[in-house]
Amino acid sequence: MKRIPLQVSHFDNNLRIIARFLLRCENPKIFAIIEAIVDTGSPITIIGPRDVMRMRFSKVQRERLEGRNKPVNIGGTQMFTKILNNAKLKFGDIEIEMPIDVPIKGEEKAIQPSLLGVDFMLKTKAKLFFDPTNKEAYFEIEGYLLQNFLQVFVLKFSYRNFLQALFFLSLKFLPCKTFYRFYIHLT
Amino acid sequence: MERNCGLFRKKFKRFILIVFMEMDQESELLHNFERDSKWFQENINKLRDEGFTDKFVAVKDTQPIASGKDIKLVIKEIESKNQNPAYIFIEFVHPEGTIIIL
Repeated sequence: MKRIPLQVSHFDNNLRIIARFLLRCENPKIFAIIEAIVDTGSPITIIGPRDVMRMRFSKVQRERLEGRNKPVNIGGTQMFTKILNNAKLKFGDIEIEMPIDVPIKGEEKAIQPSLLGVDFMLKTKAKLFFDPTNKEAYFEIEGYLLQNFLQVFVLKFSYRNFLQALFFLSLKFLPCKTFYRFYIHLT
Repeated sequence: MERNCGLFRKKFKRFILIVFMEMDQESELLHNFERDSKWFQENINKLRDEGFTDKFVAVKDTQPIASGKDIKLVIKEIESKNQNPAYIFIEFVHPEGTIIIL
């Protein structure tokens, strides 16, 4: 069982659950901090126009993304979005790869916030705990530990790096030369 | 063999160091962003009094560093100060009492 802590912000009579995460993507190259509202009324996760501009994600780059111009209505305004397929959302030590919507048209006002929708909860099989009285909120992800372990060791580090880690630990406790020879033999 | 072994150890230590440094940088960026976001929420009325209503405000180290009605101009102002807007907290200051329904 893993918990992702969320912030319950209460200012200006607007009570919201806020999730802060690092958004990473290799192609196109993106690395930014996103503050999104956890919205159980939204079926999709969408990056707000303000955040898109902060990331310096140009319109030309966005036009090249997959999908058709999908109309999305937020708070009375309509935007058209495309899908960024290989986005990685990092919450502390948990990283989730999932498709997210990015506005390509109708985002001129730029005041719409980023939304973390139900698709995130479906992807991670997360449960949302929200206690507005005590201003406490978090996502609870069951059975995530093994998945996370595999992500870190299989996806993030290569097989070679994994062997290095293993041998680094061995070198600490056992005769160095023998294990180094074995390492060379393996790699 | 011993020399190679030492080199391997050195390389591996550097790799571990880089991984930890990256993790450290990320958590520092997130921490600073969170601090600026909280400062914005706590000082929104002060910002309104200072004439930031209906404007985008960029906050860094609990100080407004750029503002304007056009987000593109705010981002240009941040870049002119050699800052990366991707790590800077930017929020729109709504008039007092505005309820935002998504």
